[in-house]
Amino acid sequence: MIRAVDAGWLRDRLGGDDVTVIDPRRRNRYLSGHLPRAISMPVEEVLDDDGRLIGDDDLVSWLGRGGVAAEGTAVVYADDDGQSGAMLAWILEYLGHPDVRFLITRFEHWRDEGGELFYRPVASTPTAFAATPRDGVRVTRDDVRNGAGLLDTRTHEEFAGLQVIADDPPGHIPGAVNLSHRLFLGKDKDLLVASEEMTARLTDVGLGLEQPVVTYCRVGLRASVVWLALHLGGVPAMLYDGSLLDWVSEPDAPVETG
Amino acid sequence: MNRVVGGVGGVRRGVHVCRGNWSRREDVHLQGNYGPMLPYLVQMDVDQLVLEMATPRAGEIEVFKEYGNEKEIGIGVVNPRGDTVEDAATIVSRVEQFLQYFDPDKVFLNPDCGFGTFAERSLNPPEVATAKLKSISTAAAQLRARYG
Repeated sequence: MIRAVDAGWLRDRLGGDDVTVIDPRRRNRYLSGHLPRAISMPVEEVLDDDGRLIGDDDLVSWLGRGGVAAEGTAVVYADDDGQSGAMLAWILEYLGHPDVRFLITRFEHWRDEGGELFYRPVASTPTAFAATPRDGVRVTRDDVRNGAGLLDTRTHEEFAGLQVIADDPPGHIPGAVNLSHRLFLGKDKDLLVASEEMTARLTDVGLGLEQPVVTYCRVGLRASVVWLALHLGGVPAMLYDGSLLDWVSEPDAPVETG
Repeated sequence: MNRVVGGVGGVRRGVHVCRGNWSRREDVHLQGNYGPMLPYLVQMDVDQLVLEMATPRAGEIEVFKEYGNEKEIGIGVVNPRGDTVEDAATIVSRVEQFLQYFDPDKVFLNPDCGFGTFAERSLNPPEVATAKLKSISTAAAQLRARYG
């Protein structure tokens, strides 16, 4: 289970050998300033041309090449709306890393408050990531066919079919309700909303805690942000990382508008 | 770059990174710190990095803290596009910030870019360019007196 940590927690542990700080942002952002000791693992490297995650074996190889082992403590941080950090945290959780922490303090706050930054790439030693995929973290198309607990985290316009991206069919997976991932973003130093605010948003659209919430979007990135917010808030949640592009890849997959 | 400068000797070799020099509007030129470029710049077989540092677009100086003294640095200390002449004291103060990361003998002063600017369309008349170069010269003299 991923745990949220703040900047103070991280500062106190930066000297420890068992902590691996991971920067999931694009390489040029990493080089423009990263947290102390952070290694660069740009999540864009594990997305295909459509923006979807590559296969499990390739993910495991990527983590190992980057020097991330399934041991010790992994600390992931993020900027902007947290997509890259949330997806990396989800990947680590899904593949069985034993101790993942998410820095709830957004990178911009660390930087703007004078937190120390480094610029030179931090060298890492390739290793092997011994994956033990966890159940209850990822769902596939077959799991979401009944639409139960399905949360579409795209914008209202995308959900309703008023805005279409590329060749996507307009609309959403039948049975889904809609809450944009931006509703789960914090407004101050914390990247994600507090759990009580999050629970209220779920209640507003008729989602309770009795069954896991399944988040999806177009390619899984925005949905990973909401998945992480729910996970950190103690709400059972799973990610349909294939999301809409996977859903509509099956001929005649139903899609609703409105 | 290394193939281009390979075999060139007897001169000081430098590389300049231009962020745009055709307009007085700062918002149309490239901005951001040198972090994404420095891992590559320090691998070039050149003696000096000639970098624009005279405007906020250049980003924070702290970016050099892990690259100090790996190359000489030509610090852009005047804006060749603006007509406000930077005074020597301001230039000295700016250069002294770089001395946290570079030894004095590694530091050179220069305009951010050429005064000819883009397509021979100078944005400053010769009098302004001359005044800016005089400020650089005055600042350099003060810095040499202070740091040898």
